[in-house]
This record gives sequence, structure tokens and C-alpha cells, in this order.
Amino acid sequence: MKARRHPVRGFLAGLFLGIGAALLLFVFGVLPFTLAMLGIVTAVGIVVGVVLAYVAPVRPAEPST
Amino acid sequence: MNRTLRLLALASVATLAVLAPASAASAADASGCTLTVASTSADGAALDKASAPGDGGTESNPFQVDLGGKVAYVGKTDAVITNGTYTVTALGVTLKTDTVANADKKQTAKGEVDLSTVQSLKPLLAGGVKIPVTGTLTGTGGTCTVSGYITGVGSATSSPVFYAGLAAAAIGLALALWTLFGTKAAAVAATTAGGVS
Repeated sequence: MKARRHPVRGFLAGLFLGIGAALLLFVFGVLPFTLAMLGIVTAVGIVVGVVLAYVAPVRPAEPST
Repeated sequence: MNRTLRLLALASVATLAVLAPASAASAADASGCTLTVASTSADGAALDKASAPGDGGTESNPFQVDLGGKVAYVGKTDAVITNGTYTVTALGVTLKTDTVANADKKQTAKGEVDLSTVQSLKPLLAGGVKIPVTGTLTGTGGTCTVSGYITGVGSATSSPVFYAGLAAAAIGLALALWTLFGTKAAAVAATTAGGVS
């Protein structure tokens, strides 16, 4: 069964999640606020988002008429 | 499912591998000079002290400043530095820069900085935020570099960074759920399958 996956959507999800997580980690003092840290956490988020898009469970398609 | 778990485990290990060495970083440091600083709050109460090299101003114990208050400093260079320029930077942004003639050829300096003149970090310095700061004095006779971490006063929720982070994470989460539940089997046209009654 061929699945229709959404890596671009996963990329954007990871981008926003990564930036959000980085800012929250900064503001609570978990990580030092540096541009390098912002880039690293965002990159990790993007990787996780794209991986999520490729491993997400496949749901049955709605039959077209 | 096993494949999913393997990939998630791999992503987790990669995350830890990337973050662990960076978060173990460094203490307040000084080369070519020593610096002692003491901060006061907007109402004049003593806030924090730090020395470089020495105690305070580290990533685990950042130097606390109130951008409505002041910072008193005492510095001593290892050599006489004349016709110099000093620069204070944070996050790649120059907070303050000026020239120092030092015609008297002194090796010590003391004074007080009114932080109300340094407002470019105001939106960021709240909650537990730890920002690396570097100060450099370069001139004839030598160079002095001091680096450490500063933090602000107030709660995390008083920072716009907190709300920006929440908003970005909420958008990311919505997109992640859309990705997760939007993965479907490729649709097969009903006509090619002989039709659906």
C-alpha cells in the first residue's frame, strides 16, 4: 500500500517546534541564549519533524468517487 | 512500529549528543586583565557580584543585572594599554564601544555603568535567560578580554521571548498533528477498480 506522506509539512512542524522549544529552554535557563544553540535546537526539531513525516502511521484513504 | 521506535531513539540520541557538550560549557574567563563587578537594582539594592577570573558570571551561576540599575566595576590590566578601544558584545550585537586614550598609563580602572543606557537586551533579559557577554579592550601594549554570562531579573512569563516560544511551539505542534494524522494511503480512483456502488 502506497502512502501519501508530507515531508514539507513535517519540516515546517519541526522548524516551529524547534524554535519554540529553543526559546522556552532559553527563557527557563536550561540552555544559554546563543545563536548557535538556537540553530542547533531548531535543526534537531527539523530532523524530528521530517522523520515524523516519514514514519507516521498510514491511515486508510477516503475512496474517491 | 519497531522502525518508528528506532528512528525516534536515533533522533533522541542525536539530540543529546549535540546538546550535551555545549551545555557543559564554560566559566567566566579573563585574559590579559582581571575584572570585578557588582550590580544594583533599580531601587539601589545590591543584586549580585562576580569576578573574572573567579566566582560568578558562569553559565551555572550567571551575573544578575537589572536593566534599570547599575553595575560598578574594578578592572586591572596585566600591561599598560594606551590608545585603546573597548567593545562589549552579546549575541553578536555590540552593546557599547568607545575609545580609551589612557594618557596617564594606568593599569587599573573603576567606575559605574548606568544600565538604563543599554536597553537593546531588555526584551531578552528576564526569567532564567543566560546570555553570554564578551568585553574586549585592544590597544597599544596589549589586549584584554573578559567573557561570562549575565541574567536578568523578573519571572520568565514577563519576557516576550516566553510568549514567542509558546506561540511557535503551538504552531509546530498543530503542524505535527496535521502531519501525523494527514498521512493516508494513496487514494485509488473508484472507476479504475470497477466502480463503487
